[in-house]
Amino acid sequence: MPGETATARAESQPNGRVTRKKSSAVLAFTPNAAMPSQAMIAMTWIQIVAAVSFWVLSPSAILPGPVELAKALQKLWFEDALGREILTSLILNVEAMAIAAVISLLLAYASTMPFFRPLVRFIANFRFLGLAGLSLIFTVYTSGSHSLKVSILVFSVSVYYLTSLVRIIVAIPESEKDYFRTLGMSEWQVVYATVIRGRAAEMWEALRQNSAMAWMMLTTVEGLSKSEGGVGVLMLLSQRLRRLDEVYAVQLTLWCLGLTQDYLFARSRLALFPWADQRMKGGK
Amino acid sequence: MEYTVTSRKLLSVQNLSLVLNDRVILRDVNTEIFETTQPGGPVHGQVVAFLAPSGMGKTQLFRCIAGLQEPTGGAVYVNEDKDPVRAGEVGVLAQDYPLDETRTVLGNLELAARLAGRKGSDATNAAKEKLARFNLWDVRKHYPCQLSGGQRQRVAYLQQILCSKHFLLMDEPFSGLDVLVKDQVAKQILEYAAQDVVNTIIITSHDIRTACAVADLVWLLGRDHGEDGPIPGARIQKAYNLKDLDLCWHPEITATPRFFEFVTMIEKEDFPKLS
Repeated sequence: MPGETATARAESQPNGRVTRKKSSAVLAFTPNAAMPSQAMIAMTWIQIVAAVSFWVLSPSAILPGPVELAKALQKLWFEDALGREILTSLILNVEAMAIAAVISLLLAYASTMPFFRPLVRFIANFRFLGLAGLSLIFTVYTSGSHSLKVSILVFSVSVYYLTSLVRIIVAIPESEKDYFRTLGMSEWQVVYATVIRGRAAEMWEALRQNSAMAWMMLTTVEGLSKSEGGVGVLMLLSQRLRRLDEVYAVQLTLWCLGLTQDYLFARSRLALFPWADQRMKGGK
Repeated sequence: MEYTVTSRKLLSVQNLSLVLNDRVILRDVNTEIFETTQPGGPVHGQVVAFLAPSGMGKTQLFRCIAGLQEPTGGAVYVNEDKDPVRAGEVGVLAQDYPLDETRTVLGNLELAARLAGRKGSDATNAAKEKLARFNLWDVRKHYPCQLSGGQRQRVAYLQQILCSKHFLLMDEPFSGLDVLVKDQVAKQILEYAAQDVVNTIIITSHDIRTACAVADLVWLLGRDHGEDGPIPGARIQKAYNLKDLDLCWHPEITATPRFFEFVTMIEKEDFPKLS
């Protein structure tokens, strides 16, 4: 069209006013802009293709290509029992996550009582402690390699999860508590309505975010005691033997496991807390 | 419109004072509200308005009457009880019409009915009856975030009347609303007040015109003035019985010159003395 620029198109409105419609290319770099969904999908694909191309064409010696990675995965699966190691790691991770969730939730709920607040704050501040120094203490006070790994993972996840939970509880407005009081609820009922039931969806979401911490810690923790195996042990072994393709293959496996877990958390949130989903959608 | 003031005392505020962070907010607040009846049932409910300029302690007085704030001195009694009011004894409708966001509309009303002492299917039936009566049946399975502003207000109102025993308190119901919505809320308050369940509504407001349009009893809350200026702590300075002044219960009362003169008098003469 004559006079149309590459970036903007003039459109006449019924009231005679002329508005300028920005092109997708301009919108893509405009802060807070809403992109048309098709343009957004196209942009995502362009970025994926660019990332894969970079990976395939990269001359870097420390970054194995897709074919090498696939071969390494095949070898790990059929010769090094990757499936069994994944199961071992998964069981360890789920067990630690469940224990960490129970401990953190109980402590967070207890923080509604003034007596427990200093204790909870003190425990939450343990997140600044280094794991290297703590592993010795856990070794002394736990029996067996499994309980050692579970304890360290529970500790690592709990201190962060507890911090998130306390922040959620502290942010509950007094007016919300007042509302439940006006319905004639006792203070325990108010705690149930505002903290336990009222913030369950947010706490689930915090657990989802903090569970990534467990996957990140897994390789380190499994390396502390290798007798039970696990993907962490497999990766450390490959690293020691300088089999970079296998290291990346295990990393890719861990990444996929983490993403699957994340997806399951998100899906279960919709099923467990439908009101949170409705709130997210912003109504009808 | 005829009315009779009965001997049943709905609310009694006795020598109430409130000090927060060494600041005197309320001082020697004394007032009483008696139930009024009308021949043939509550055609017009009783609406009592606490009017005061902003920052005079209306919300704190509201919290004391609701049992949410313990006064520093004195006490609030409801329904001639010997014990001071406790949270949950009177209905409270806050500005943003709060609801339990984790429950459906029906769930919210069932919760209120259960908290009021109804059991199982009795609570459900009471909730369903209210939903049908207030045209909310279609949204019974909706969560609060899915409701329109008007629906939310009605559900919040129903929840409060299902579990409160005495009267309904509304904190600044006209605050932040445009003129059109303000009139709608005022009309809704009058409709609520005419219901046979809780037919006395107490509102706090600084919106003189709208509050006077719905109220039949107006109290002005403000500070005393000494030689050195205002004395800290607000108390009830003046009361107007709009029923006796024939300034309520008439359709289109707000359009009459009498009403305009009354509102202007409060605005120009009374309010400046309250701050």
